[in-house]
Amino acid sequence: MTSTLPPTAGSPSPAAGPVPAAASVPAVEPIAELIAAGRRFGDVIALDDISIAVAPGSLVGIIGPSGAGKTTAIRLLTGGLRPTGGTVRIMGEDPTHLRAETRERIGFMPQNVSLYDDLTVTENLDFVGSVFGMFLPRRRRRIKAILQWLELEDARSRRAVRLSGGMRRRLQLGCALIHDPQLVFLDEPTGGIDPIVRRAIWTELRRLRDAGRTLIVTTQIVTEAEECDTVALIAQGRLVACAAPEALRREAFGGELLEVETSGMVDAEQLGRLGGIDEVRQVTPRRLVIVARDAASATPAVVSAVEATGVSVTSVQTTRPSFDEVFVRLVERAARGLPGDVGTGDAMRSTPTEPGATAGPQPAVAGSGAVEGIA
Amino acid sequence: MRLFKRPLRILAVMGKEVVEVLRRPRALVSIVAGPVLILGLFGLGYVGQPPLRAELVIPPGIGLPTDPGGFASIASDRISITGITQDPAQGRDVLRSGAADLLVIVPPDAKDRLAKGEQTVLDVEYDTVSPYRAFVASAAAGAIVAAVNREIIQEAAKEAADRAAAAGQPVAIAPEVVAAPTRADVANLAPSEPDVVAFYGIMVLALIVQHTVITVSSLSMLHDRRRGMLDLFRISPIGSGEILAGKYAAFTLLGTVVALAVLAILVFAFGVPFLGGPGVVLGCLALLVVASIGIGTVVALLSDTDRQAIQVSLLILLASVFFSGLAIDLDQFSAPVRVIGGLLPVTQAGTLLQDLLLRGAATDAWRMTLLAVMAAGLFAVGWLVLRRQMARPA
Repeated sequence: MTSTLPPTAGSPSPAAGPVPAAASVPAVEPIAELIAAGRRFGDVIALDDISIAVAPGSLVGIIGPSGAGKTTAIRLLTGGLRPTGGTVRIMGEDPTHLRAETRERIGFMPQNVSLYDDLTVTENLDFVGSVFGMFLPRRRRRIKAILQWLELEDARSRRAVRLSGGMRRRLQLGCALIHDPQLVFLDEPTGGIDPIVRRAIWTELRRLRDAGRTLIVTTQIVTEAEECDTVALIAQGRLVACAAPEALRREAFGGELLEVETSGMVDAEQLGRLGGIDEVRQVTPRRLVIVARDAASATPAVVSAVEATGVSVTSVQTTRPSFDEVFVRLVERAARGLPGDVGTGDAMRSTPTEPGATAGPQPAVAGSGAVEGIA
Repeated sequence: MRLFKRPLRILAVMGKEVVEVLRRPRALVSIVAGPVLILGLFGLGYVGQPPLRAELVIPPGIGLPTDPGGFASIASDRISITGITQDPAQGRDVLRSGAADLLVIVPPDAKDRLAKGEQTVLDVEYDTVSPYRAFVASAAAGAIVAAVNREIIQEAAKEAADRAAAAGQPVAIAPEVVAAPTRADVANLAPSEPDVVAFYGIMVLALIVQHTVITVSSLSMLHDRRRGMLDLFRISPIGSGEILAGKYAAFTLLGTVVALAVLAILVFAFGVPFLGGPGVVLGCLALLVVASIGIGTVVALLSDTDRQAIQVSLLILLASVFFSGLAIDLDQFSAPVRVIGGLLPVTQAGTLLQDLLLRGAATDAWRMTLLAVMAAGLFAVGWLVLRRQMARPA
């Protein structure tokens, strides 16, 4: 997937770029919003008191393991389910009663493959385009671009039933985007897709975001969180955390990680008393992992302190824990009821307290969950 | 532009449905070849009710014919005389062996009793558990007994006439007239006299069209739901009315084409008369198709699985066979059951088509109106249910 998918005429200008942090622009109206929303199925709580506000032009990932409640959240947002508690708003409207004009601006890719098996690739795209009110000339142009983008040109005349799993998923993605919607819900778009195409899809999703589209994407591939502007981590129906990926990483470990190897044993407690150091873990006698508020500024002090004890530093490096580790740590913390204030509260209307929230990609979403100690 | 988006969406659904059906060879076979095959088997395989085989027991010396040829007047395509014996026990053996369906025993004193002015009782025996066969045997027994009576009276009249002639008093009335003073000269005033295949073939056509359309339309709607397409439709601008309109357009087109194809086979291959106006016949077929789509839609919307929908479709087929007048005349049912039968599109359309094709006009024009009301009502119900399912999420 080397080509890009051009926005159609009348679309928001690509020059608009990512929308600035909603937290710092209180006036921005969320394009999609869950307000203390919950959903029960009998005695089972699928989603519990979740608040997420999505600013226009952002790429938001709803991430969590299978059965966490991601699809329930998407179905609440797309009007497929009615919340049993709280409120859901899409473009200022109740998603169960959207106007036709609003619907034309929304794209949706369900988790289950929703294609017509007996129709060809082109016919599936054509059908969805027609349903969304696209007339023939625009449909033709758009189908051509989509097929090129999704590398489905050679399969254009093949029936959907004869496509591989990955190709079917790509075709579904094409159907969701055929009408160039402003707000797109993608329920696990990369499920069952090989890593190369997966990367290309995320590249394209970011490009669409840059073109002013708002994308809300669920995935159970936790590492894909890094691809998003903002991540809402969901586990067991609860919002564990909601912030920019970097902010989540910092929150999970209490800061940035510095891995130090020395020629001899070092007093970890002594290092822990240094300014800007929150925690020192002695991994092995000659290896330390230090949690620093700012790794770059803490490094010279750490090296000096170690060498002052007569031990030389053989290597120092900043460690970026994988998002798998971040996710596990955040979920464990939530389960233990430890504070995890990343992205909590309604950041659309108040300044976040988490310093990391302003670093890296601008968070365009804010959320709060009723997880004990987090809300 | 917004004005044109509604027809655009309806055409999209219609085109999708037509292409989907045409792309499924098996479905195509079941839709077109299936009905044709069934009709062909019906037309070629139906030989009608075989004649009732009667064995007669006629004692010697009573003046009745002793070979089957003597009863040629009662032998017809409904009754055949298998043989005549003199011994009732031998006749019963023939009945028990299955070589005959009916045994008529004339008593040895039949002629004497008539001479004495007494009535003679003929024993008629048959061996069947089928109510229908019993009914036919009973009716045939009446015809055979009447024929035997005629022979006895004719024989007695002839003897009396001979005696009178010998006494110089000839009788003016012939013995045949004495035995049967009247005879029927039957005339059917209907503009056509179709055979059984032609008459029932039309009802079978209506049944095939109804069942095929119900099955295909219900599965289409059910597949949309099972594939999650309703979730997609719910977030899209398409409305429940547009979805239904597209599906109705597609299945009306396909169903009418199938109906016309089967009708063409009936007319050209089986010689079914086509006396009515083509427009009215087409209208009747289209109304049958539209009403059947309505049933299919409602079945799909109230079913959870393909199996459930197919089971309900088969139940409707079964009800249609019994209560449409195809297998058993509707007059033989109580009023409530007749009402239920009347609510099946096949009942009204089948009767209308029989009238239109065989008589040239509908004797009960109200049936067309009823069919139209049923089609409109079922569309409204389907639309309301779909609208409710799409508008009111779980």
